[in-house]
Amino acid sequence: MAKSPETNGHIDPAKAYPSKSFFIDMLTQDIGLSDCILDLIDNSINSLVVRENLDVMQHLIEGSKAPKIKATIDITFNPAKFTISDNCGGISLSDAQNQVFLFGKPKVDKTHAGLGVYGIGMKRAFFKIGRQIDITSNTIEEQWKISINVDEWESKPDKWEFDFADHQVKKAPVGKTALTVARPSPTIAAQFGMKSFAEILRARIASAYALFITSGLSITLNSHTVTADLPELVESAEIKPVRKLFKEDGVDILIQAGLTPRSDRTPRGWYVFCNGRLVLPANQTDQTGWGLDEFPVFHSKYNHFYGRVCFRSKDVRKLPWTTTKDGVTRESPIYQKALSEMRVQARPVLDFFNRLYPDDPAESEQERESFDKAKPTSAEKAASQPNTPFQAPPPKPRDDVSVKIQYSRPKKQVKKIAAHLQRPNMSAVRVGEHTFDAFYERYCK
Amino acid sequence: MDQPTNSFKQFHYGLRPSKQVERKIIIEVLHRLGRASFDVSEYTYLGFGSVYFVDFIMFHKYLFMQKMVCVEWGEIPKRMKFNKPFKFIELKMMKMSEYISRIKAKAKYLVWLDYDYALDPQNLGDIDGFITALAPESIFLITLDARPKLPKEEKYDTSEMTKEKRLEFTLDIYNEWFRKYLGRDVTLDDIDARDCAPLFYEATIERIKQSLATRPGLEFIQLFHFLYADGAPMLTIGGMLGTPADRERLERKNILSHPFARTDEKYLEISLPPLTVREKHWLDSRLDKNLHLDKLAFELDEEDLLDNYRAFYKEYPTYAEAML
Repeated sequence: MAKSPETNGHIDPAKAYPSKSFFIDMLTQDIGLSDCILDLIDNSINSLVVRENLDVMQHLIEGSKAPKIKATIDITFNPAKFTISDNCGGISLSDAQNQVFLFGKPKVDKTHAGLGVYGIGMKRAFFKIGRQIDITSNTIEEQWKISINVDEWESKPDKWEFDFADHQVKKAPVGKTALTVARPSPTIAAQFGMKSFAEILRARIASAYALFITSGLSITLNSHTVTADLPELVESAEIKPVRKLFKEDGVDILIQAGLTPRSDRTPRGWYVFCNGRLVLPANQTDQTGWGLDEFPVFHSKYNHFYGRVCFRSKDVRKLPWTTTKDGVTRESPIYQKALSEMRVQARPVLDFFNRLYPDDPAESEQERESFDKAKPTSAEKAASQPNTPFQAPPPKPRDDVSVKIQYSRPKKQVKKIAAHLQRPNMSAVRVGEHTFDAFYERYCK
Repeated sequence: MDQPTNSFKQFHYGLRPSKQVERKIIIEVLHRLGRASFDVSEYTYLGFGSVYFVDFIMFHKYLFMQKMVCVEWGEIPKRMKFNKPFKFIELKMMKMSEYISRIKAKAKYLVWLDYDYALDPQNLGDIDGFITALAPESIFLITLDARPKLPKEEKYDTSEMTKEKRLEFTLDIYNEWFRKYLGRDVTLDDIDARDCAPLFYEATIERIKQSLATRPGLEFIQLFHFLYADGAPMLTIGGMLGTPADRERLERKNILSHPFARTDEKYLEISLPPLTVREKHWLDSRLDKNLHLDKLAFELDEEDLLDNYRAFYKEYPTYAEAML
C-alpha cells in the first residue's frame, strides 16, 4: 500500500480513552436501582469480611459453629437523599487513595472469601443514584471525607481523581463509613418516593444477605430491621435432603436439594449463592438447568422443590457471578461442573415429585403421607451434616397400596343404613367403608 | 401351512444365545484391559440384576470382580434377595437415576445399563448422570431396544394408530427428543427400517460428549458397539472414560484393534446360526478359513452364517438340560 504523503509514514494511533460519561451515564444503564443499593451493601460487608476474616460459608462446609457478626448497616432514603452507613471497619486513607475509587480492580484480593469482585459496584451505584456524593469514613486511627459534585467532575475530562475534603488522624473505637447521595435524577427520586420500592428492596435484602443476617449482621431499611428470608427444607426418618460438597478448581461447591414444607406456598427452584451472597433466587429457568439436558422444564408439581448451590472461594474471580450479582455466568466451567452435579443430585428429588403427583392420585398415598410427616428444618442445619444422597421411601409394591373409592348414593339410603347400624350420626364415608368391609368379610375372606 | 416349517432356523428366545455371546465378548475384551494395567477385577460392577443375576455370576467368575451393586426397580424385593447368588452383592431397590447420586467419586466402576426399552429422555438422563459422576478409567455400557418404540405411557400410546400414523407420531416425538443431539431433523429414514440403531448410536454418543464437556481431559474411549437380535434388535454401546494417555495405552496393547472391539459408528453384528450340538462339534473340528458351504456335511443356507459361526465359535453357547 502507498504511504500517505502528509503523514510520511507516521499516523496517530486510534484513540481508546475512556470517557467520563461512559461511567456516569452508560454503565449505570445496565443495572437496576435495587441492584445498585445491594452493591453498596456488598461493599460494606466486604470490609467486614476483610477486617474480621469472616466467612459465612465456613460453618456450612465444615459443620463447625456459625460465626457471630456484630455489625450494622443502615440504609435510609427519601426522594431527596440516599444514605448508607455502616460500622464494618471503615476504609483507610491509603485504601481510599489507591484502591477504592479506581474504576475496575487492577489486582484481585485472593485472601478473603469476599463480595468485591470487579471494582465497579460502588462507583456505578453512586453515579446511578444522584449528582452529589459525600463519603466519610473512619478507621480506628484516622478519618477522611470526599465530596464529589458529579457535574463539575464530568466537566474536566482529564481529571481522574477525587479530592479529599478532609483528613485527620483521630482515634475512634469503631471504624465506620457513610455514603450520602443527594440530587437524584427525577426517575430515581420517584422510585425513592414509592412504598413499593422500599418493599422490593426489603425483600431483596432479606434473601440476598440471609446467610449474613442469620449470623448476626443487622441491616435496617428506613429504620426497620430486615429479617432473613430463606426457604426451609423438610426432614424425617424417611425423607432426607441431599447434601453434597465437592471442590472444583479451588472453589468449594455445596449442593443441597429437597422438599420445602407443605405449608410453604411459594414456588421455589434453585437458589445460587456466591461467598454467602444470594445471586439467583427461586430460579426456574434454564439458567439452573431446567429444561436442559433431559432435566425437565419447571412445572407446578415441582413447586416444593428447593435446591441450593453455594460457591465459595477466596479467589472471587473464580465464582460464577455477573458484575451485577443478579445472575450467574453460565459459560464458567465451574458453574457448568456444578450444573451437571445439580442435575445428578436433583433427579431423585424430582422423581419423588413425579411419584407424588402421578396421573392417578390414589397411587401416591404413601408419598403424601411421608411428605406430610416430614418436619421443617433450616437448610443451614442440613448443610452442616456430612454428604448424603436424597432419601425418600421406596415405592411400595402395588398390592399393599390402598386405593380410594368414590361414588354417590341417595342420602336417604345412606341414612337408612346408618340407622340400621344404630349409629344415626355415622358419616357417609364411614357408611361406605362399613358396607365394603361387611361385603368383604362375608364373601371374600 | 403352505410352507414347511422354518422355526428350526430360530433359537428359543428364552435361551438368548446372542445375549450370551455378547456377555462373553465383553468379558474377553475387558479381560485384555489387564494387559494395559487396568485391573477390572478391582472395579465395582453396577447393573440391573433380574432374578437370574447372569451378568453378576459371569463377571464374578470370569473377571474376578468382587464388588457388585445390583439396582432393581421391580416390585419383587423378596425374589431379588432370595436369588442373590453371592453374599457380597449389594442389592439396592431403587431407580438407577436415584442410585447415580450415590456413586462414589473415586471408585472405578463397570456400569452396564442393560435396558429392554428404546432410547428416551429418561435413559439419556441416566447416561448424563453416569458420564458426569463416574471416576476416570470407569467403563460404561448401555444396551437399548433398537426399535423406534415409545415408552409405555398413556401419552405415547400408539396401539390404535395405523402404521403411517404411528411413524408420524414417533417422528414428532423423536424430533423433540433427539434433534438437539443430531443437529438435524430426525427423518422417516431414521426410524422406518429394521431398527434405528444408527440414530440411537448418534444421539447416545453426542449425549456422552456433551456430558463430558464439563470434564476437561476426559474422553469416551469407545470399545463396544454391537447389534444383535434374539428377538428384538438390541444395540449395545460401551467404552471407557479416560484420558488421551489411557487411549494410547489401550492402543499400544492392541485392545482397540481387538477383533470384537468397535471404536466407531460401524457396529459388530452378533448373528448366530442355530446349530445342533452334533453340527457344532463337526464344525469346530474342521473350522478354518478354507471351510465353505459346499464342504459341509449338512445344509446351511448362507455363507454369512458360516462366517458368523467362524467369528463367534468360541463364544457360541450350547445348552443342555441338567437335573440340579
